[in-house]
Amino acid sequence: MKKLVTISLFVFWAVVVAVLVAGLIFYQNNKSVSQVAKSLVVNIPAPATPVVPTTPVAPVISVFTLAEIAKHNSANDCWLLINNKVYDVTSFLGSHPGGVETIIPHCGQEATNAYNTKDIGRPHSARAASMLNDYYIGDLKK
Amino acid sequence: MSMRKKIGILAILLLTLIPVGRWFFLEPLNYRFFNFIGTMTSLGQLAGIIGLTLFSINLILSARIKIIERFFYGLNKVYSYHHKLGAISFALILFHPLFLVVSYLTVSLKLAADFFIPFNNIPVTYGILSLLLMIILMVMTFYIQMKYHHWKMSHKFMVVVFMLGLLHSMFIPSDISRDMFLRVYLLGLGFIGLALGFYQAFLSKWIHNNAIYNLKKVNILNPSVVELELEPLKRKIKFIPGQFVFIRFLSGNIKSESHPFSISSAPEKNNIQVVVKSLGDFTSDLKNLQPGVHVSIEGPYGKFSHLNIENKNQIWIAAGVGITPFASMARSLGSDYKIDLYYCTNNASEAVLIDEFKNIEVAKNIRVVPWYSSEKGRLDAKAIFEISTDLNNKDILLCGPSLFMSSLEKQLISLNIKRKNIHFEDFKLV
Repeated sequence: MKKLVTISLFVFWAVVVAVLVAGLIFYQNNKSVSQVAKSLVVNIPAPATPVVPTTPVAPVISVFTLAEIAKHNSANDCWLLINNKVYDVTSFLGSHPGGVETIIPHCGQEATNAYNTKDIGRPHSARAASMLNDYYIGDLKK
Repeated sequence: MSMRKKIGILAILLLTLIPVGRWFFLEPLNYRFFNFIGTMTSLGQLAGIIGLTLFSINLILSARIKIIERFFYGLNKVYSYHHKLGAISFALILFHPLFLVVSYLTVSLKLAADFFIPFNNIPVTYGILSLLLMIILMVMTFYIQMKYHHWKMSHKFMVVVFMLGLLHSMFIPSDISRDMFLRVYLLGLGFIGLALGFYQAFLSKWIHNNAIYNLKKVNILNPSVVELELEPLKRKIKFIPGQFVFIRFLSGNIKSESHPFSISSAPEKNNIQVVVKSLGDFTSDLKNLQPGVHVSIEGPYGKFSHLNIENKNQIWIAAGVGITPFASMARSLGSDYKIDLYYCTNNASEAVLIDEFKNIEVAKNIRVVPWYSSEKGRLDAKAIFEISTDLNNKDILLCGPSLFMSSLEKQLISLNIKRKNIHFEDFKLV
């Protein structure tokens, strides 16, 4: 039993210290990396035009129609439309604190109301909103 | 008999499988385990649910309830399960946040780091504080050599750990908050555990129905061994020979925690006697006790008795102060028993009860074999075979230091004695 306790304690502190050090000390780097990553995601669907320094170009944002969004309606491929923004939350489903089954019915659909009320009249936290941003892939085609 | 010994462990398994089973049927498993992150999150939830359930059970085990003792066949077995379950539950609770952090790691390191920092979110904070306190208390239990009463005092705070853990599990958004059955079940079991644990840790000293005895005599048997004789003030405890009691001194210059002691006197006597060897601070203090001190006696507990074994042809092996339960058995031994008693000590002066056993030997069907290791070396199974012969038809009872017992058990089993015919009294109670 002592062995079990020793190993568990060792693994626990190893992971916690590693995550805290990585997350807090490299926070600044981390932030810029994730911003870069986000801008990459946003730009991927755009035609790969070389940036011409002389003509400032507005950032290209992907746009999707309701029909396109509706195709992504399963646990293996789940997009949500919230406040006219499209999010691919497939990789997040399993880690939704409110459970995967609360999201699945909204996959491929307009989910603003569900997101704002959690279906029970309570809003998501600011933290949830910041997490959601990480899954942003484009806007609804007007 | 063997089935009865398993009821306790089966009950633990059942109590743990109920919430796990419910969790498995709450949603389709392919939703829970459909990708790596989902799997990690699910494992984290399972670790939390099982850890919490085992923790609840462990608090219930710690409360020294008579009926639970019966399910486990002896309070020392209950404590041995308490020790194991505590370690398993602790390991699961340590892994619970580690599995859950994986999903945050996939988003960002910053978010994952935030997950481990308290005061971002109230239910998570309960969990973090609970876990930190638990780590401190478990390190004290497993790695730090402490004085018994300091350790015991520290361990009471497991109740606080549990309370924080229970708050965490009830307020965090999860299957427990969403499913009424899981909520009611875990809250119910947790509440029972909390109530019993709280009673045992903080109230049992004041509210109990222990018998009160008066210390009548302190016999100093040798420089490190004393025999205490206690007489009942009102209620007299009923015990069978071989059982032990928890004794707490109500006055006098002595620490007031309860300590377990085997009774050495025969049950039919009005007064009870215990033999104590000075090991820790507490037992050394006993020598300085004056008659007239009142003590509170809780019990009796334990299943270690010749009366609980069908075979009346028995071998008793005692080391040092492990002779105590055998003294009670020998003093009340029926004429239909046939006993070989090995009394192992370093030398003759440590064999404090040997003269009395010599007298009993004359009157009853018991053969006493003194074994002084300074003369003959450690007692081994081979010697027992030579002296007692035909061991296969006898049951063997062992009482002494755990190393002494486990070494003899191993030797006996290697000589084809069946494990079920070997019985222990673990003298070291936690």
